Amino acid sequence: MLIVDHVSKYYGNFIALENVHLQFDNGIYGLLAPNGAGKTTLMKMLVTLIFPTKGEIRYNGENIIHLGSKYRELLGYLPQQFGYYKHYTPAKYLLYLSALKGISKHEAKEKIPELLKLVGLEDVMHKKMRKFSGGMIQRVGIAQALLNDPKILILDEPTAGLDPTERARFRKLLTQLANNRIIILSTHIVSDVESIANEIIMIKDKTILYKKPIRELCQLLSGRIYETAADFQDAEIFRKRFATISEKQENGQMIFRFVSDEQPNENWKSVEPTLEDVFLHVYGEGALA
Amino acid sequence: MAIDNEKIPFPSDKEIKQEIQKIIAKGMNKKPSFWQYMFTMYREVGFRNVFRDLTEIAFTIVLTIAVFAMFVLSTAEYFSWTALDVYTFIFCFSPVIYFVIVFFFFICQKQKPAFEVEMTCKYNVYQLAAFRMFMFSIFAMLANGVIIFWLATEFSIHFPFAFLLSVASLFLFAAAFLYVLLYVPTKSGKIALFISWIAANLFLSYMNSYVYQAFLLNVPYFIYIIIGMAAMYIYVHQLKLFFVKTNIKGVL
Repeated sequence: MLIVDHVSKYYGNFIALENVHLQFDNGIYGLLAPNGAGKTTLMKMLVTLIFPTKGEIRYNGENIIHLGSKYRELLGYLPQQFGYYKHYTPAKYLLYLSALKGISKHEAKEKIPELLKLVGLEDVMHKKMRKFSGGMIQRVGIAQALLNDPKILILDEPTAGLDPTERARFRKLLTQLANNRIIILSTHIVSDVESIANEIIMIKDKTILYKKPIRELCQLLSGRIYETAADFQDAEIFRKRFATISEKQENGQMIFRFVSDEQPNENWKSVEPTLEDVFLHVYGEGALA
Repeated sequence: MAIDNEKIPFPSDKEIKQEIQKIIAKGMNKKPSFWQYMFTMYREVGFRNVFRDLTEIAFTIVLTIAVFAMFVLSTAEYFSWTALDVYTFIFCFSPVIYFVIVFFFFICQKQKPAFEVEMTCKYNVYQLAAFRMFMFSIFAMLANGVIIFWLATEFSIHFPFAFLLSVASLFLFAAAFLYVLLYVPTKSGKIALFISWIAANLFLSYMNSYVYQAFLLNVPYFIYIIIGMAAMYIYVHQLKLFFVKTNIKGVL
């Protein structure tokens, strides 16, 4: 069990995170927040790249900083900006990282082709990464994070650069891996986590706002989400009157999805809230950018 | 049936604590020593991965030695080196090879694109850095030995004494360098130490060459051995800190 025990992180007078308390058992956790909310700070503390200013992070009761290499042995990490050596091939790069992870050469040579196949890079495993696309590099990053069969897998914006097919494959892979490890996935893309995460963690105002299963999160807005169509000319009036969370064009009309504590019009029926509704309600429409 | 009312002596708090410590100690895996850990790390990571930049290192060393040789040979035409001057030179410049390789290594580390991933591996950048610095110090000691051997053939200096002087100087500097690395989180601190070392020695020898050289030469052998050993001890102690500290502000 991994516990983030009342952790704060300050950079001088700047507060990056304040009094964060979390507990992780095996399963997938989606860390959902807009850019700049403190996701990466939390991720970096979880992988010992930076240290908490206050509080501590414990794995099975021991401070992860004191555990040192014993903790890192259990870690798989994909940073937001995955760095690589352009003149290396994926196979060579993974072999190098295997050595740093303390994996024997023999074991690594068996495992690397399997992992590269898993992420769909088996055909280019001996090609230099110089000409790889962003999505291919990201897949090398995912493969390296899985090298040591980690008990704690931390992925910071893992789907950046992946196309829809690759995203779907990645989500399937995570679901397969989740039964005997902790997977923490940070993202600002709701669809990345909505179908796979056991729990969603939302950060707001530098601290944890919610840590709940998706169903419970959606219940927070139960009976308060409405959808209706309006003419283009009425759109501006509508926006001023209601807290719209999303809008789209359909058949020459505007379809508004909005939050209201009371039923604004008896002809308008409430709809089932989605995770995206919760996200947009909490962070505002700008958060999707 | 008779009830045994005999008192059972209850252990004191101190005894309880001692017994708990014994049980824990027996149950826990024995922590490997610093040297065992270094050896295991080297075995698991391998020479090729520890010294991935071997070509660059070799080039840096050859360049440094070449600059030195040029300096000594070119000045020899205008300045007659006495044995005493050579001892001064050895004490002052013995840490140069070490400094150049280590400094070069830290510059390269900072430019590594995969720094974050490598920092979260079982053997992270700091542990590799500690191992490399240890190897660099051994290499620098041997390289200095070869240079001193060459100097001994050119000038009438006493090789064992000159080598001892060089080892003491190298490890004194290396210990100070690691201290700066760990506790002074600025880039300039590292360069300032090196410049100060050279400048202070040159200044002292220039201001009062006789006293400086007399000090270097009159200190008994065993004092140099003690200084060298103490500096080595401090150096290794500082290296160990690289293993326990996983992120040291300003080191990289």
